[in-house]
Amino acid sequence: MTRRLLLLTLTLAALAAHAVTPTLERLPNTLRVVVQPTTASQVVSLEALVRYSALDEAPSESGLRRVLMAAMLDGSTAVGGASLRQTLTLNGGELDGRVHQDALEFSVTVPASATNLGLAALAEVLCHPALSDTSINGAIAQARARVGGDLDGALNVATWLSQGLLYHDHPYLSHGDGLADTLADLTPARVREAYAHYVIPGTVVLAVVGRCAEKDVRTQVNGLFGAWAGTAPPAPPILLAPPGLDGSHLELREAPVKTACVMLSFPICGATHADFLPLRVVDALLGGGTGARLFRDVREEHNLAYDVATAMPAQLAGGHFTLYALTGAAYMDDVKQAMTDELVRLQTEPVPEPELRRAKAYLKGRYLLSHQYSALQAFDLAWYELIGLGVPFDAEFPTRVDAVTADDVQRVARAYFTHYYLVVVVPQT
Amino acid sequence: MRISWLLALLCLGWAAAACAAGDIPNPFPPRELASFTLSNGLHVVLREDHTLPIVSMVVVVRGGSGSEANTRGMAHFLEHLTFQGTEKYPAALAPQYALESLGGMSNAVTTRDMTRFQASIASNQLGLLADVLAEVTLHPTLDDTPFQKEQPVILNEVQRDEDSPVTALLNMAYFLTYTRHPYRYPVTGAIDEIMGLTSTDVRAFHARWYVPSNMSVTLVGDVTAKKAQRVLEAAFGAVKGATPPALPAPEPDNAAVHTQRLHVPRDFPTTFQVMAFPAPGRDEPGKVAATDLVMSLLADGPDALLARWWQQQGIPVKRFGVEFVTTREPGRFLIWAETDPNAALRVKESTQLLLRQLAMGPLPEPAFTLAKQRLLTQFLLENETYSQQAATLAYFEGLGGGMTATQYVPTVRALTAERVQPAVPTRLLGWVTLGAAPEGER
Repeated sequence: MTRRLLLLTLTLAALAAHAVTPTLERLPNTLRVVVQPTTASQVVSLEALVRYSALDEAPSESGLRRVLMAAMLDGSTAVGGASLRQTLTLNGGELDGRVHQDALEFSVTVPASATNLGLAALAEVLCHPALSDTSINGAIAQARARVGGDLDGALNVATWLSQGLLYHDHPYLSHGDGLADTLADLTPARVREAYAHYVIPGTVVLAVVGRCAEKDVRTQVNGLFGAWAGTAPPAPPILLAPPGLDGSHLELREAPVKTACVMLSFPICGATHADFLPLRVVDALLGGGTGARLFRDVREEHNLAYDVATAMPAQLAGGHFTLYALTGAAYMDDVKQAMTDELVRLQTEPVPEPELRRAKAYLKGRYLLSHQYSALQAFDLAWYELIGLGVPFDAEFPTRVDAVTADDVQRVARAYFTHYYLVVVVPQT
Repeated sequence: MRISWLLALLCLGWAAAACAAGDIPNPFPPRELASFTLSNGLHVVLREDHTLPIVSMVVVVRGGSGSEANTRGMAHFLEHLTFQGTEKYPAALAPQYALESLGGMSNAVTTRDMTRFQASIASNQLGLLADVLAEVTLHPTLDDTPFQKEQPVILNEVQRDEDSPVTALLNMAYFLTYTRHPYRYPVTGAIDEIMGLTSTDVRAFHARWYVPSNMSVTLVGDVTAKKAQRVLEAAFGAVKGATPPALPAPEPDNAAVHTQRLHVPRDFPTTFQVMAFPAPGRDEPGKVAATDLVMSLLADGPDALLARWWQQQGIPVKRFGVEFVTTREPGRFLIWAETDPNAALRVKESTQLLLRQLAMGPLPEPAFTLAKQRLLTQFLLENETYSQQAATLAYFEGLGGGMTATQYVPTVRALTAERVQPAVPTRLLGWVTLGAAPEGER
């Protein structure tokens, strides 16, 4: 082992070994609760993930999950949404909700002194939402207003076009936003039915991370969530993979922009597939930091672009690996060529060990540093448990990254970087 | 009311939870901060916290685009070039690579008042961290070759900013409402100005502004004061001190000037607009905190006054925001919105009406108390991690004093509605629209 490798190993081990081990308990009503106390933060983050996927939505009900989430956040049978938020705000707390492809997320962040209040607020939203006709109709109106989104700049336009190509008839297409027509057809009764079916203890993982005492949190959680009853959890959705590709496709679009965007997207496996972690290493090799190949080649060697990056969202039924660059219209072909050259290089040449080591260090370092944020740590713990990888996956992440070999990298590059969607957005002529 | 919710409120004390504001912690208690100055004048602000084996460091240079006398975009160009090789790390990006290869992260940002170089890494690598940041700030090679190579990259960044209607709009507001001060110009500079820069210009800018007495280091995490002093002296101490350069003269405040007007046609179906008002600078911390609170009152949360006001007036607004960044010199309070062209003028007029009402009458409750608590909450959440804390301290340090970060929370807590009311902006300096022309404007 070289001195540098030894140093790296010790450095990252110091970070990883410091973390307090999170504990998972399942309440009698099957609600799973993960607690990780830490004194590193003055706040406590509470994350509740509900296993309710876009794949659970019928095509005619696209957007149902977003409406349900917004209506749940609008208050409980005991306390109105405005009062709930106001009480949290007065005590330094925030309540939020997000729709993911495979889950609904409800989050509360509070100063440590208000942990009980945060838990009580989350219990109100999850276990006792009012779901009145007024709330639901308001949520439908809000959801309809946001359909379409903002398409400022070449990157947003390219992303929107790529999503359309990758997921053209798949439930992941609308990112939970729904369509104007499907939202218009939703009724309060249907939304309440969806709540009763999907938001039950057996589909929820609650993670608590921050300056808290585990025993106190568990006592409080038992008191607040223990009596929450629900039906048996629905069967998980069939993981219908997004459509594959039998050849590569090009989409060229003019837009009122000054910068061009070249975006190359490949369908890939889902987040629990064995290839997903090697693909994350590929992501770090190509787009992670200043030592990454795309940054070095496209930006530093050829100075073709300022923004050059990769992205690969974690989705259960299958996702995509995207490479993109914002560049001048004159350089589009060069950028595309540089990107494909790098992909071919990954497929044909084993990654040199020092480069692989740097990519892994980047991936692990970023992961560990990101866990200074209690909310991110809480989300990851809940997510791993929800998707079946389990709570220990979080602590094992660095070791699992270390286990990825140059052969793994070459194998996944060959398997996934074959046919692609190439989207090019150029300034209007 | 459900028993559990009731119990939670009772545990906190009913009045504290549901009626009165709870005590939100100050992320920078004065007793936890220390500062010292190296022999060459480099000032250091330190927060020792051994909870995690991590250390975050920021080097802040009090030289941003607002320090540029003639040529624009130099501070930002220099920030790019510093990572293109140093005396000890001659290869391009070698300094960042050295950190990344040990799991560290680094970044840099240029604003109107300062340039910040920040990085985090495991605390057993403090020596490397200090060495890398000292190299990029004090010993960059700034050769001609990387200068020429970096130019198209920066031009691309400028074009990207221009593609964002909101970024372009905010830049135009500064341009319209400053006449002399360099705050007038975008941080990145304009394309023709960047094309006109030379590597000699950039080297001169570096020699002038990147001197220890014009720089500070903030350090947060697993490090003792003794060790910090030793490591920083070794990394930064060899460079001799020099007199900090003089800053450009402040913008004259000519209250008699009429509202400036600019419309920039773009091929959008909607109208973007920004209203620019005068705002306090760093020398008036009480007014700065009050203005922050006005911003929160107008734009944050589900009960944001602007959103509710426009809704009451029946004016559809697609999206909006308020921006107030504390600057060294008096700054700008900007309200922007995107609407259909037929609503643009009504947004402007109704916003001015709301601001006049707020400035004259008592600020509404509970909106005022909620805004105050929200502001304190945001400050707490934005300073959860070592890297966030180091960045905040550097920001305050860049404005003239990192230790003043300890006073932000007490200052906000002490604000009353009567003290905030005068901070409501009413004097419209400029109105910029972008995209489709507003309908009905005379």
